Amino acid sequence: MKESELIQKLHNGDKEAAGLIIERYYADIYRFCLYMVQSEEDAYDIAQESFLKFIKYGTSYHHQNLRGYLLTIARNLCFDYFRDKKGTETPVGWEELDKIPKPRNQIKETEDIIYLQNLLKALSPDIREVVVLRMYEEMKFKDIADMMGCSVSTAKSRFRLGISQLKRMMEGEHDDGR
Amino acid sequence: MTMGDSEIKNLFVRANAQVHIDEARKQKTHQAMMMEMEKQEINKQRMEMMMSIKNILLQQFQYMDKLFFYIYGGLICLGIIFIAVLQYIGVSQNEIITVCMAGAGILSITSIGVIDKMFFGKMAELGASCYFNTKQCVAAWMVMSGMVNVVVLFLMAGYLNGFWRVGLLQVGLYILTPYLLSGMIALGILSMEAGRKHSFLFGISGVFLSIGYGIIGTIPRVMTLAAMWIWTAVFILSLLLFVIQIKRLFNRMEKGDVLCMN
Repeated sequence: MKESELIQKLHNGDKEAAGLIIERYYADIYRFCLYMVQSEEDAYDIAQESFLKFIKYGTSYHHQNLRGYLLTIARNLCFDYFRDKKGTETPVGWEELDKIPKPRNQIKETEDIIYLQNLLKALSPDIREVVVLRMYEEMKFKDIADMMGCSVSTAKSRFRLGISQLKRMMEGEHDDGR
Repeated sequence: MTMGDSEIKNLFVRANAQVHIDEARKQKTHQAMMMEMEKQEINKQRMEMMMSIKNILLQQFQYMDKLFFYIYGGLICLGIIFIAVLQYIGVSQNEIITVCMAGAGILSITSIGVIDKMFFGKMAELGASCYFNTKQCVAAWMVMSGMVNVVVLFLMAGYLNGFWRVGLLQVGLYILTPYLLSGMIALGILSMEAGRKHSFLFGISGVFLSIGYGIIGTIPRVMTLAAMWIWTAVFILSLLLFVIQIKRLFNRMEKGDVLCMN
């Protein structure tokens, strides 16, 4: 079923359409939330809240990019979450990053997600967001910039900064005095 | 070794494969969405069931005691017939002006007397639960009856001016002065009705005022241009007192002293 048909059905109160939307986009939204907030429980809550907000306030939504729309809602909720958590969270220091287990040295493959989460945690939310949206969601810079409410060049520079930080961390080339 | 973007990309791909979605949480989200949709459906139905202002007004009108509407309409018809009869039997200009003065006074008292009938109650708490409060209903009635009265007074003025050749300014003063004077007295009666109804006073005042206008009509030269300044002074005074009485009535209603929904 096309996205436009799905939205039309949802507007008409079709509960089956709601189920299809969940099937189609839940994983994407949840993973995005997980990469953003680094907590499974909170990511599930935010993902649920995103879909509820879409149902509550998205009745007038007529655009064709439903995934982008849901990601925008999730993104805003993530930043609300950061605002609420502000002061209770301590940023990850560079010395902490040394302790991050490198997946290539591990036997278990499930360590990749933990490793990635730890890497992302070291990035500021603004940078983390661009990296996740670009690398995982494969969104265009223009769409990312629209979502973040910044210019395309800002989105690109944040991405470049994020990638260089990630590379540095992954290569273990960062210097402690930084 | 320098890492490429592809390696980070690969890390995301591998990590994605390791993120397992909790089906129970996914279903919980689905359930929450269903509930929200049902809630919205109920709200939508409720909104559809809610009446529009037009419907509310129509229903208010439907449930109103229409007896006084009929009396009001009947009085206007009777007045027209009465004037037509008087004209047929041949009366003087002054006599017809006097009759119109009394008619304007009765019209004014009747329209305010209807307020007494419609809103005199002892259950103020019921009034508070109605869609419109007493003050709004009274104001609405005053505007409505006022508009009808203006039409009737215009017709009266047109008749006196057109048929009896009375100057428009004179006609205006002869009709509006008793209208305001009677209205002012009727409002005074209404303001007195704190816990006790004095409906009979409306009737009595109507009779006495009509007699009074009749007496005024017999005073020599009272309908002449020379007496216009007296008419103007009385008109201005009546208008002032009428406004004061309306303000007083609404103040008393605000305090809950007089009038409430029944």
